[in-house]
Amino acid sequence: MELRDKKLPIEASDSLRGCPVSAIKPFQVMLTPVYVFMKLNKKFISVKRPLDFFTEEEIKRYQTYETFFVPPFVDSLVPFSLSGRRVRALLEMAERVFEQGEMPPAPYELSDAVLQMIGPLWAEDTQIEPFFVAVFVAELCGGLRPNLISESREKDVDGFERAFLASAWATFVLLHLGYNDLNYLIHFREQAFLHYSKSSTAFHARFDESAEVVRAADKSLGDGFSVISGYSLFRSLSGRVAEKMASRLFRVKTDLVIPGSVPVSLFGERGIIDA
Amino acid sequence: MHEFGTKPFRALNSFGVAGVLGDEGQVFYSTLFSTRHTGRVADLIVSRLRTFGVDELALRAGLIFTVFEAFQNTLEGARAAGVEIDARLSQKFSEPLILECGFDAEKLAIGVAFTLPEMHTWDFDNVRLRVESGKPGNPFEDLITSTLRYSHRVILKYQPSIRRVEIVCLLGAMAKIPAAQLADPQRFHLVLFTEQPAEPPQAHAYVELGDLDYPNLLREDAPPLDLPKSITDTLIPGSEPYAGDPGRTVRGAAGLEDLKRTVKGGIPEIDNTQTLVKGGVPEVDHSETTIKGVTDVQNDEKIVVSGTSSQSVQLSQLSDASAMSAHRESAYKKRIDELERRLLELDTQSVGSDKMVVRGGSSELQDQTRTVVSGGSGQPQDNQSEYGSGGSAGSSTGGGFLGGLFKKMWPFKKNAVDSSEGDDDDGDEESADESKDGLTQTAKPKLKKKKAKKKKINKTENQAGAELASGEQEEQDDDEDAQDSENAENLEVSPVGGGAEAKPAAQALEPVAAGAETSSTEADDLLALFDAATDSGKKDSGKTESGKKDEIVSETELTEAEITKVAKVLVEAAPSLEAVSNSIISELQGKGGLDDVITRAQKEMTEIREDFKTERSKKWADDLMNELVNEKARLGDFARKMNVSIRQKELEFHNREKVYEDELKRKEELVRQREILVKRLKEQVAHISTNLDRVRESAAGSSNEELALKQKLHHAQKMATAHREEADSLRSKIEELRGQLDSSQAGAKAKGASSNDHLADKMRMDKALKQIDELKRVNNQLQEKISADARKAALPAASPGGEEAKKKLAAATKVITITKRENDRLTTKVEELQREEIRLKADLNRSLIELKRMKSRGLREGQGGGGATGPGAGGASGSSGSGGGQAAA
Repeated sequence: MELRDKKLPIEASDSLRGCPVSAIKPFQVMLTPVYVFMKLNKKFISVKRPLDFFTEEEIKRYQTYETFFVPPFVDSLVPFSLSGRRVRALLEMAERVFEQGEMPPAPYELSDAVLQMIGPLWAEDTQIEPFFVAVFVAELCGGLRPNLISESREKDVDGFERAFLASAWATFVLLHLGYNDLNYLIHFREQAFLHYSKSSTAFHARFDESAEVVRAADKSLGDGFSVISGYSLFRSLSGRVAEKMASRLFRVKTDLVIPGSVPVSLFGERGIIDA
Repeated sequence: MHEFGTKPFRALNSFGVAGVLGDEGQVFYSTLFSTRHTGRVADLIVSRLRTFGVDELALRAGLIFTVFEAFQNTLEGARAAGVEIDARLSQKFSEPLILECGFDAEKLAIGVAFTLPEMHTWDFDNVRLRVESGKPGNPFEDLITSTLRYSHRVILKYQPSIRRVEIVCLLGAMAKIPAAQLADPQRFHLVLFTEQPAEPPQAHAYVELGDLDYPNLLREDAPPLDLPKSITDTLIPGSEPYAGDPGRTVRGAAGLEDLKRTVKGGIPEIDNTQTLVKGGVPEVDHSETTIKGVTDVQNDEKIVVSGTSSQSVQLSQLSDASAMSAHRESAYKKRIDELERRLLELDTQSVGSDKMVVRGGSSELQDQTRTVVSGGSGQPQDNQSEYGSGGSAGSSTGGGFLGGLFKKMWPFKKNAVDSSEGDDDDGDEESADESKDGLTQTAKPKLKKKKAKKKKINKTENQAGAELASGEQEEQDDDEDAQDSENAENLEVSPVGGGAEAKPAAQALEPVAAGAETSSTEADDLLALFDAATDSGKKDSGKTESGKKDEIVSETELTEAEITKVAKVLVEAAPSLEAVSNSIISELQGKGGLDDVITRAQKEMTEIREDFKTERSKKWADDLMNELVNEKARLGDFARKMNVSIRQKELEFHNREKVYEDELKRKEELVRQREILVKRLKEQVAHISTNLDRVRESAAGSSNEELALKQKLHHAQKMATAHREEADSLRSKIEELRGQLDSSQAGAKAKGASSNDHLADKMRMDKALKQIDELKRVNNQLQEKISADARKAALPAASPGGEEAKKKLAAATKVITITKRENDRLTTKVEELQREEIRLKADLNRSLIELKRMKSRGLREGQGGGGATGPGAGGASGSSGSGGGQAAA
């Protein structure tokens, strides 16, 4: 991913958002470019692009800067981040009630509630960019293990980025199919990441639905950055998972999508990448 | 088996139920992570497929057995893996269970897919035989056998390479599957996948259970607000719909204000004003208004009639006319009201009645209240009057039965009575006469009219009252004229209405409603009362039933607030009603009850009968007794009806109480929820306030941090100034060094050494060297010349020039040595200068480095205040001595 603005003039400071360096955790995948302010040059210089992460040494090194700056593009991530937190809270509540021995919401109730939370994330005609799905899943499932992502990135940066996006996309699809167990989703996401980064063959021999989802997600992802029209895409694919997904997205399309909404994009004026 | 229904299966070599359904098949699916929701999922599916036409129990069994099968394998897997967790307790699947329930036009398919645990060994040879014969070989087959019991078909798909299993149960819709297929004994089918299964065929729709309208499908029917009409409506009183129904009014009840009636006496001796409340207010008013008459009364005889006979105390058999009795009750009440009104009117015109006791009471008691009219026994003549005259204060209930009774009882004529009475009190007599006359005058025309009208009275809504009225009216019709004549005849002969002989009868009849007094005035009053009652009865009869009902309904419409008030009062008074009825019953049963009176009267009558001389008097006595007995029966009937109405009211109260209790509970629940909400809000407020305090503290803390930072800055500034001073000192030192350098250079200059002079010195040195070389050359030339000359000189003749040449040579040699010395000196000088130069360079570098260090330190520490950077140290130039040689010329 090549950033459009690797350097920003000092005049851009009005629109940038500050973030203390101490708030950044190591191996936390950045979902927005990160800038530091060079005083000598009086410019903001990008030190990390999206889907990159800081190591511990880097964080120490940048402590002197005290503040990282992120572009206003970060505002586009807020709805996805909030939805991820809400769905996580809902699934955690259900798990907590279950462990207390009480009757949690029924699977169909959870499924309905989750779909109503994530439905509005799709734009009209069920369009969405996988990058923002990754934002949602990052909040839902938390971060991947540091060793996984560092090994994967060291091996191949593009491969790591795609694996990151694809695993998030597969988890998103699984959530649509009524898989409402948080622990299972977290485990699945990690397994899918390993599969897509070719670090694991766990799904190769499996033919249960989750394995079908992994395969279907891979087919449907595309390059990982372009917008996906979910309903029409899954209708064009064959297989049980595709049919189920198309059915659910039909409901999203008819009942839950905000009419006239435009998909949030990495590209364009409000994005960070040139189209 | 490749078909079940009219169409063959589309695909058996794939997982999923879509393969066994037709093209139009729909599939509902759900992902289960635990068994805890199996029931609810089953409920939803069953509810959705209610109209499909499949046995609901079989469907539930299919769902539950298949899920249980998967769960059992989960347990086995957990045990095999040595997992300590009690999987049965956790009810969690090791992997999620995909439950699919699909249906097409003919059949329904339930599919559950799962993975067998690794340790599971399954011998699938002859599994079909074992399952179909009902002899399973292991628990897994046992469960399949159970599933087969409730399904028309069971298909087991198994992929051994990955131990993937799917159980599909098929249930045929009613009358859709051919009978031959249903009768097929081969109901179990095993599909083994030796290679990768195919993709399942496309279903018409896959619907996740969360996309169904589950709130409506699983909605429970709430109990109805309105109960249906009771089948025992006519049998059991109070079985009509809830009184809580806002559309329904309470029958018989009326506005409290409307029902309140004040009974006042018209004469000054009335010392009590009693408010009677009838209708819905369960106030039992046992108060008595004592109205004393103006004349002396020798016998304060009270005749109180209330309650019923002892025979009707118990709640007797409820007749079919219980509903009618309610109507009758209300008609009675109306009649009572009117009679009371009349009574009031007449009371104002009453003359010297001795003592009347009016006993008021609640609506339930109205039927039983009776006017008590007693008069002085010694003044029959004052009270005697023709029929139709007079009236007394008091109310009569039950219409004309009293009047008829009195008419029958009182055979005397008015005139005879007047003449036979003594003159105890002229004034009283006069007033009595006047009132009597007045009454008589007013009553007489009425009587005539009433006589005519009486015959026109037909059935009224209230049969009892009508019976009484009609019965009594008939009696009146029959006996009126006879009595009118007989009264006059028998005035002196049979002093029933007066004299001592009338006393025993009167005493005997004490508890009886009709007074057996001899007072003609009282009789006249009663007659007038009877007339008034019959008039009211006529008026009542004139109304239509519906009109009465409307009246009742209109009277009974209450506002909700009034109803609640009434209900409260009713609830409170319910026990009192019962107490009232019990008191009435006990009163009747008690000492001096009606039965006792009648028996005593009968006894005395038998005694008195002997004294009767005429047949007429005997007949009169007999009639009187008969009337008493009839009266007793009627009272009994009234008491029965009263009890019935009391029970109805009780039931009504009870129902209302229940409704109000429910309402109260609901409101209490609301209040509790609101309290909880308030509590939560308060907690939130407290939380927010603590957060606010925390923020404020942090702000204060941040101000502390600012102070610390300021101190730090100040310190850094101090450091920066110190460094600046140091830098200045170093600078000055450098200057000094420069100065020293300059001075050393100047010294070197003086000695011929400076950095610039060094070059000049060098040049000079070179020149000097050149000169030296030249001089050497010249010297050599001279020496050669000298040698040549010496040779020449050796030759004869010393020339005078030789000496000069020697001198010149000596001079030249001197010059040479001098030059050499000069040269050496300059060389050493040059070397010294060079050394000096190197030293100075080193010093300069050192001072530069120090300066840089100081600069950077000052910058870092005094960055906020702006570190002063010293100017860059000037490059100290090394100096070296220049070997400026002065070339000796």
